[in-house]
Amino acid sequence: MIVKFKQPLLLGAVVAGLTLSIMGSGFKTSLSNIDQPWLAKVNGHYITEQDYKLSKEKLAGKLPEEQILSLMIDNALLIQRAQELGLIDSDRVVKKAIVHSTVEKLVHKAIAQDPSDATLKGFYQKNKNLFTHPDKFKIRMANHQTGNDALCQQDELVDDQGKVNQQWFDQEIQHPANQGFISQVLLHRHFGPSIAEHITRLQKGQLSKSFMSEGSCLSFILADRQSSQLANFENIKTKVLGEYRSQKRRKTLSDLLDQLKQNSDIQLATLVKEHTREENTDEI
Amino acid sequence: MKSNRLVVFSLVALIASGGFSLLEFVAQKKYATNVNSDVAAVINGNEIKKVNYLTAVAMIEEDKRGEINRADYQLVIDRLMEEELLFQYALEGDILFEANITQLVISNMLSNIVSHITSDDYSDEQIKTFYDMQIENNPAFKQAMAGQGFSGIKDDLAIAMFEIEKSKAIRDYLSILNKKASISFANDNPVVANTQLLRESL
Repeated sequence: MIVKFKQPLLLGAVVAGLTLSIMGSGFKTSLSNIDQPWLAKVNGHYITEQDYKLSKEKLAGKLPEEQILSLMIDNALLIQRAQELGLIDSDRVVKKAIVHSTVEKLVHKAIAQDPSDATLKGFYQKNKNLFTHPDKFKIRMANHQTGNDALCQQDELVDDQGKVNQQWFDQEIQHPANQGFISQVLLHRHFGPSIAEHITRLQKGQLSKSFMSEGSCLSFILADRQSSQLANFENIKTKVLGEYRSQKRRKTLSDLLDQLKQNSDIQLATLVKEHTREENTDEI
Repeated sequence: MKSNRLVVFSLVALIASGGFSLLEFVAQKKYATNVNSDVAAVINGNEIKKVNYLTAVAMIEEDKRGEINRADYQLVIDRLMEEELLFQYALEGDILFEANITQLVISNMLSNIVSHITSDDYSDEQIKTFYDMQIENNPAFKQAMAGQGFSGIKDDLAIAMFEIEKSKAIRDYLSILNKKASISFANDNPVVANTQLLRESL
């Protein structure tokens, strides 16, 4: 019985041994078949008719036609050699170019097709905050010309009914900030956080408290306020599309990175672990 | 008796190859965990050098003009790891054969191949020998040089010698790669036929 199966067993043993050796050595085989017409195969790398056509277009007039494929073969040999020597891994410029090109290709593919109007509108509805104009404020301001902190008081600027008196209007000044409606961000930039915050809480027509600022006593009246409003979809369609693409680009990249991280063996040096207090990866 | 010996021999071969594979696996694993102190992280066996990590940290420190915190360190290592992951992912495809990348890699390779050749290496005597040889063997050169003395074109000749030497070094290098390579061609294609003829003549 054993004698009968000896030959197939032997053959199986030899095949298994060879397979194990090849796998163990980390040798990369190019077993995948190419699904397009090719002209040459250089150490497993196919030069396709399409590659050749592109090179021919690019090199038209620069190189005799019969030398183009030969040049492509030489290039393939040089690239494979560079890889063997580790020149690609060690060259920061090449590495960065490879990463840049990969990211560009990836995001280009992700946003190649424009979303339908319905999808875009859905995105707009879901991200209303991104397309809402913030509150805007129109202010008037007066400088009461006093260097004395104690005299910078509001009492003398309002009459018995609490309305702003003539004295305030006599001291009204012009300033870039009171030329029209401005946002809270701009108020912040002109007058600092506490004044900006205070103005945004005023009612229309209300006088602010007085603030000492660089030797001046300033007070403000909120002349008008434009409440935040959602921009009309049709008017900002291009902006919505831009935001949609931008978010899709970020998501595509972060999804890929998450997937790559999950499937990777990542080890951090002790120094990096100390810096980041990382607990979840193996220590080197 | 003979076939028994064959069985034993095959089994020994099988055990040996299995053992060899196991050893290789263990060696690779060991390499992955026993790394040098100049490494900040190892991503699927590829190292991120500590110097690159610390340089990026220093750049952030300079930008902030102050001490950096845990989040900054995390940002640095995250970016470096992501770059390495994307690089590894890219290499799984045919990115090296994309025009812009090919250009960069080949230009670096060619610079490496000719890095030992410098134009300052030629003595007057060598240039004169080159000049005499060209005059003797190259009618076009002889014609172009008519009425011109050697000293007037010495520098240009040195540059020409430099270019010829570089070109020869590249050809020699490619010839070695070509001999070691496994190159096959598709049948029945005129482009291929011409290329094969051309490469055989080199």
